[in-house]
Amino acid sequence: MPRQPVPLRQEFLKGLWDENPTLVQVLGMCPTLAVTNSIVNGFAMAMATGFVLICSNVVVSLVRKLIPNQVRMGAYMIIIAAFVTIADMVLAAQYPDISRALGPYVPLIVVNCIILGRAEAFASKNGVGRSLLDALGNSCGFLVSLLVLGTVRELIGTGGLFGHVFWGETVHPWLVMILPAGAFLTLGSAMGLINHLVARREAA
Amino acid sequence: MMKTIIRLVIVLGLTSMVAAAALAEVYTYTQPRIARHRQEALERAIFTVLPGVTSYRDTAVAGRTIYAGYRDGALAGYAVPAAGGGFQGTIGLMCGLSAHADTMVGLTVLESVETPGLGDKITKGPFIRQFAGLNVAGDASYVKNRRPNTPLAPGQIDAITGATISSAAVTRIINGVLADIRPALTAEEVR
Repeated sequence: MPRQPVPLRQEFLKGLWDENPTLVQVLGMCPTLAVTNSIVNGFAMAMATGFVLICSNVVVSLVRKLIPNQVRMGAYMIIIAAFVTIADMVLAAQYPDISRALGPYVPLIVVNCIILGRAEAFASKNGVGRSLLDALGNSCGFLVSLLVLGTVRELIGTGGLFGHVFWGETVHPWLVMILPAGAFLTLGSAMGLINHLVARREAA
Repeated sequence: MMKTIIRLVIVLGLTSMVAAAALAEVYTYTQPRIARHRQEALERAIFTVLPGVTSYRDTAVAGRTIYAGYRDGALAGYAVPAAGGGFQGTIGLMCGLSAHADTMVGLTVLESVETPGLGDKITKGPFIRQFAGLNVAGDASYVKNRRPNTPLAPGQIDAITGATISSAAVTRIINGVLADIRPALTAEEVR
């Protein structure tokens, strides 16, 4: 590996916490806000994005020396768009209900800046192994953020999880949490919490 | 200079070709499944809005594809797909009509992005059930704030509190499609 003193473990872990794509880098906000109204939708979105991110990172790092600098963005976009289309078609064929719930947000993975960001910032400069670990780490970081948002929003917004209502009529659900406003409230709180934890750790 | 351009063209061309080949492969695998899911959803909707129907056939009426439902070989009604604007996006409906096209026998919402908790009540039982047996010889209409002992006029439904636009959209979509097909259905019954 060329001038990479970073241990392999760190390549994976950085995406999970220190450089978490949504909560720290604030990338990929469109799916984060739009599809986390239930835990299942958040999970499916993270899986589809993770598939595209891992595949494109590996392919980009494999062909990084063959692609001339002038057209690298175009080539990356073709690679990413191909994987997104595959994810979209497979989802529609195997899980039609989830595909309908996610609607246009699966094709929109193409413009998710996490994916092009990792391709340009990492996979185009690193070997396959590290690129794979980097993509895995970022995918898991994305998955964790979407699951946290999806859980909080579904729990407060509908009073249940996975479509089952826990406390029924006794506590009236806050409908606003599964509406777009709830996404901003939850995301803002999660970011604030992370910043608070980081600040406290640095102060210590 | 020329050499660089040719190199760029070749690289992008090859990338596109590989991507296209991969997509073609996935497409041939997924397309039949996607088509089958669509067909299953359509049949489920038809049998929901035409209770008791055992078979159906598609027919073209006034330039629309509608589905004539049969019970024991006799025409039992029509399932009519319709769509139009709701509060936030398209509402897609499947309307069940009696054989004389003057009464609705069922309704189901195929597609809707109405507000959760308010407008999305148009997809739920209490609202949907109002359409079974609704007189649609004339236009359907909705009423707001009806007092409990005031009867509904023929063709009238109760709108959902807080979702008047969604409720009105459903009656408007139904009236629109019925205005299109009613003349053809009552003039010469498609059997």
